[in-house]
Amino acid sequence: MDNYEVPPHIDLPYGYMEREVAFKLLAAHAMVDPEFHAWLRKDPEGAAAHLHIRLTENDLIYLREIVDWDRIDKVADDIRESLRLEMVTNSW
Amino acid sequence: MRTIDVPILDVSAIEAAFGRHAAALGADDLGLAVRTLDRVRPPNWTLEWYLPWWLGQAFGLPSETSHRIVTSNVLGLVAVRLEDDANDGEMGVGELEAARRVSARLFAAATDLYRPLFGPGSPFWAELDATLSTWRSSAARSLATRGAPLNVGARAICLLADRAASVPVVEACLDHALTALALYDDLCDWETDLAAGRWNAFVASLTDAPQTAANRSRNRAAVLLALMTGTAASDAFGRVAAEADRAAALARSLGSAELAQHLATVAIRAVAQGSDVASHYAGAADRATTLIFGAALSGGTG
Repeated sequence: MDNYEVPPHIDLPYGYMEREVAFKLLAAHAMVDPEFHAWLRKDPEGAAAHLHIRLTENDLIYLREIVDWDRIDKVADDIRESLRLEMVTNSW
Repeated sequence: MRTIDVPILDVSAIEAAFGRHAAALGADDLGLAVRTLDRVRPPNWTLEWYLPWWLGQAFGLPSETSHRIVTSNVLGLVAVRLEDDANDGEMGVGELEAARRVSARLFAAATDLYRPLFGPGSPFWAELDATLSTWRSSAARSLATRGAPLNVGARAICLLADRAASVPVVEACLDHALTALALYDDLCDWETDLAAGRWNAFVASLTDAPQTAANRSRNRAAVLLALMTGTAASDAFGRVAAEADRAAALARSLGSAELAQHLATVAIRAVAQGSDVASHYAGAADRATTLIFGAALSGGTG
């Protein structure tokens, strides 16, 4: 543990794990609910608040300005297709 | 537990016996009977075909008697399946009449097979009537459909083997086994049930919203979310396994190693399949998270 460095303090409303869980909830909702997907794209703060998640200002900038939603829309269909249970049960 | 060498059930002989009984139907009706038989074969319907055989062997009944009861079970299984199809409301008038006609004829053939085994005053006939009444009035029709022929055959075996005292254990075993099968069916069929407007136990376990057409999208999203972000898959398959394990323990106490083995295998497969499903949906959730938030997670936009 000699090389262990204490990470710099980041003023987040939650820790890394919580942040990961929060993102997973948002992403999963976006995959299964087209209306939520559109909401997250248009109003990420409101969509996240609907799930009782408070995103940081940087996360909101990321979702509003950095995320390539058009690309996501194309790839998301593959993920949605994989959600059908028969995709799993066919291999049994 | 007593162990005996159980002869292998001659499935082709059962099919041949079924064919002989069905041959008395007209050509069209015979086709319907055979097509329906094709839908209720092992391995998905192993319990219906093998239960009387395994129990009969464990209780020391002659193979000929157990064979006769298996044949009756299969005739009864096809009959109740056809009647359920007719009641589903998805058939045209001609098909409906044919399904009811064939069901009645096969049911009569299934019952006739018991006549040489039980006299007119035997309690078996009252028990048969009670089982069929329960089936016809049951709200949980799919579970009852599977249960009716199984219960009739199992009771017959107990009475013929002079094992009336084992009836409560056999019934408890079947209750757990059928619950496992019904939960498993609802797990595998939840999407088609939801789309068709049929109530589904797995959906009900994950959402309080009534399973109406208006709530279809909402319920689908709720189930998928639970699969992606929770423990819904392993919980649900775990419930199947727990029921099958309870049934297996009761089968062991009855002395039927084959029935116990079959049920224990159902439990083991359910756990493995639950793990497969859980990992599949967790993977989908991870891919979705990476897709939308990948850079935020790795770069730390916070």
